[in-house]
Amino acid sequence: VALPPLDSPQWNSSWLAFGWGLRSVTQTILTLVLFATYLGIGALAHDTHFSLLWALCSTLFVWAGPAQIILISTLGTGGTVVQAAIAVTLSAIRLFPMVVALMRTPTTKRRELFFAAHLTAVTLWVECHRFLPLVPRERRIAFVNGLGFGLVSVCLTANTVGYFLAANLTQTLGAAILMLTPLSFLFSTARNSREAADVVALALGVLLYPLAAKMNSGVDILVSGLAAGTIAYGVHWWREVRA
Amino acid sequence: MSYAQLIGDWQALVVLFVAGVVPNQIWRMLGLWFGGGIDEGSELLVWVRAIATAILAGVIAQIVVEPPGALASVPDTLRYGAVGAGLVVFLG
Repeated sequence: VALPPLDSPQWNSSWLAFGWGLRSVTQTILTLVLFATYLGIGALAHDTHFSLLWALCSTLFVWAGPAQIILISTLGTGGTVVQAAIAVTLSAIRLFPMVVALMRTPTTKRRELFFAAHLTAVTLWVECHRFLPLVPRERRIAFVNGLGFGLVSVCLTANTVGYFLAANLTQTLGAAILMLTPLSFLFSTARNSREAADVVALALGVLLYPLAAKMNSGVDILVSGLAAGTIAYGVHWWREVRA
Repeated sequence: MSYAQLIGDWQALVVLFVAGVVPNQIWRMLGLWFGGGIDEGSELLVWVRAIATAILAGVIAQIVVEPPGALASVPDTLRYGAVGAGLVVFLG
């Protein structure tokens, strides 16, 4: 189903726009990518001994795949709450400029944007760039709410399925599902790398972690992340200055 | 499936909120609060984004190098091979 034209009566109410947002979930390949990622997060939560309710709450209230996997992996391997909190907050700063840009829509009130701000995450962001030009300006918030609501529902379903699969499948198949999330993040980050600094941050981040883990400092993930990220920023700075 | 697997204990949920929900949500709420008054392309944000990417990359490495649960039963070479083969297919 294609979206109705901008002047269609199909856009006459907020609820209709919410419905079109909800239906647009079926119009993007990213829904499948999210499903696979959250299937993996459900399975990962199971194998690191978190409850299903915990996994669902993390999807509902954190609603950011990278933060969730950082949380599960750090806490699941015995990391401290403080280390997990710092790692999550560093990963979440990305959301800040997205919400700021969302606020650029003039004449909208802050409370109307509250729900949309919570739903703001990378996938939704990418989809907004694609869909919003096709949506009348005054119906965009309702549309985004519908799209976000649909994506959250897909991910909660995927979490539940992944959790039960991990509980019931043979070890080999269970292992395959556990690989879904790291692989999907690796590929999507690699694909979204636009400049050299992104590639350096990704590659060095992967390579430095095993080294940092040897130090066994209790904040390994922060050590490798800060080091690799700062070197990547150095590369960015060097290229900018020379340009 | 047991009660512990479905619901778990409340302490774990408290940890989820302290270490996950609050540190994550605070940036969305700050974005909402500050609105348009911020330069979103600033150098500081470039640095932070690089660190965020590197932390995520580190966690990906952590799952592959120190695998949890069922994944631990898969030999090292097969896990590394899967990542390598995937990357080659994906980027190729």
